[in-house]
Amino acid sequence: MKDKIKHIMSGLFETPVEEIGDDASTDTLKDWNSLNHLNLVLALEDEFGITFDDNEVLEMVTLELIVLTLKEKGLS
Amino acid sequence: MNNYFELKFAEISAEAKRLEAAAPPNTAPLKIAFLRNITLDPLVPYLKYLCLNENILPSIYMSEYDSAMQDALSPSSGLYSHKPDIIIAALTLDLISEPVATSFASLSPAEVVSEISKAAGYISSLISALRANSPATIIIHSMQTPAWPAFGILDSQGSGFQTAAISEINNAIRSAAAQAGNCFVMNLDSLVARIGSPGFNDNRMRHIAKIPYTRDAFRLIAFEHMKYIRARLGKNKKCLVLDCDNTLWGGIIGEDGIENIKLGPTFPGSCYREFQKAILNLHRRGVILALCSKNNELDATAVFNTHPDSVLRMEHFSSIRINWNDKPGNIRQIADELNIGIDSMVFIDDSEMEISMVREMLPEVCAIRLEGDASGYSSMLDSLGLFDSLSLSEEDKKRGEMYRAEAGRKQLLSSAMDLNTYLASLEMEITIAPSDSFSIPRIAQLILKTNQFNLTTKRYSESEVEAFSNSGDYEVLYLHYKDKFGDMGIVGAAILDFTGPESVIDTFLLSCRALGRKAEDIFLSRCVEICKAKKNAAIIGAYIPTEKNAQTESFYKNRGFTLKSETAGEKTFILEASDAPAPAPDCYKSVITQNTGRIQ
Repeated sequence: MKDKIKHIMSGLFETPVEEIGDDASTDTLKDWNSLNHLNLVLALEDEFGITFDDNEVLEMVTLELIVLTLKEKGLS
Repeated sequence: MNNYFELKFAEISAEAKRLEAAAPPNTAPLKIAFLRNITLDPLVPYLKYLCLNENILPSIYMSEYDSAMQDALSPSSGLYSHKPDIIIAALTLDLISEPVATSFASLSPAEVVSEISKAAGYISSLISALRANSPATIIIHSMQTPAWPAFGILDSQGSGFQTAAISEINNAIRSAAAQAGNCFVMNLDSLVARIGSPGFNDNRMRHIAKIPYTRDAFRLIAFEHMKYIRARLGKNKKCLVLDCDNTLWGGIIGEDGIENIKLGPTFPGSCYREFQKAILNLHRRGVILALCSKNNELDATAVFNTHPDSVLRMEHFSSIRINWNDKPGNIRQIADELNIGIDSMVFIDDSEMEISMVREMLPEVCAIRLEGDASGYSSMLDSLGLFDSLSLSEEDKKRGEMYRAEAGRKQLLSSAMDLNTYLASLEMEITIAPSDSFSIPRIAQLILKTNQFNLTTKRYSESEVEAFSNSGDYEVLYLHYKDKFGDMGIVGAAILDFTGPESVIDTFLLSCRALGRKAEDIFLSRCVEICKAKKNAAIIGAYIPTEKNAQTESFYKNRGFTLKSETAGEKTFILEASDAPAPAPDCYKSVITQNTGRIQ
């Protein structure tokens, strides 16, 4: 699942997938700005067939947190 | 490009980036500038994708959020230094008139009037400023009519309510645009109507990020912007080329006859009639119509000349190619005859094979396959937006006549380029084998039904066919066809007669669905092979003319046979024992010459 998320990020940000580490966050990836964050949220909703609530959207600012949020929704 | 409405945002985004990086250096540049009071960034990948797919390299300037008027009024703003060719003002009602948008019920009638006039004033000033400072084409989004207006069911009843107020503001926008010149309104309501307000407007994203629209909305908006861009650049399509069978009517005219094709007031004929009306509508807007059909010309034209429910008549078509030649060649001839560019043509056909062939051999033509229920055809045509234009002149309305009067029916060389390569790419699998109990019913059906590609049109019953099959003096053969698009089943039949001193091809026919792939050639080659193996004698092939089989008149002559005699139109051809037969075509993936089991 983590790899799939990295793949989606790579497509949306202008970053090769190898440069997206497990510690990726809005601080470490220069293209993970607020607009791309929304693109990411929508792409993840599309990909996994789920909807994030408002808090989740605002809080999932690192790869770790995204994985955790998805797990909480029953995905693996 | 054909699956623009299926791709996800991430895929469109990635593809747009790829296309931009790979664009050849001479791609036509187009500078677009956006004025906005909403976040429009999600629109950009869609618009770039569409532009790049039509060989336009867009360079996009996004003005500051909510600074539309400042940008428009200041000649030194980034907006003008970008030197845009197109300026798009995507403004929503909250900017133009917040009270009308969000608190209409609190306004007194006098306040409503004042708000409308303020809004109209704002728009006029904006457009005037833009027009004064830039020669660009201006596109203004209209104000959306709310799905649930401020006064509910009362709202639509009179002129003092929210719906009417917004309508007046839109009228003011339209007037200001007409006055400025080179300025056009984009009606957002018709976009919303396509997917509904909940499908278009995104309240969640509007609150989180000031993005009021869904991805699907941006997809539609970009698609609509593209229609304006195409019209402005003169890249809108000019000519619609149409197939006939199962496109302009249900059924096959050459097989079913004019009384049995589906075209009329009841289902499914009603679908085709409606489709014809939509096509005629395009013609009245200035689109040139042409026909490209594999048929006997008289059969097809009879429908337009005499069928009471045909909305389209011969006079509506400026060029026709109704013959048995390949469609890419015919379409090229139509373009030459009408003296228009191949890239201004749209081709519509129900056949996957014909569409695929045109896409391969004439990629500049926009080839569209009719799929699914005929009831969807007229909306599909309306939704294309390929012919949209920003003006309508008397000349437009008469365009078809003009082309028809000028064009002669010049004889041009047909385009056979790469035909063999195309055929080879179909991965055709042919089986030509002796009949058996499984195939006899289908063979008999073909013998009774086939009219067009039928050399002698001899009709035999199933028991007669069975008798021929069981007799040692005859050979009954079938041809089974399959390609990468699907399995057509048994589409050809032949009966060889060895009772006399010479071998005679008594019956030779092919279903018209299977024409255009040299199947008749390989079938004849195999028949000749079998005859020569059976006895060392001449082979006779006869042509007995009927109203429907004129296309087969020279069939034997073109394949190495010589005309031996002719009586009252009936021709007898002969291939002497010493004559070499025509070579068999080699464009097939496989040719099997025996029964491989049960074949339907």
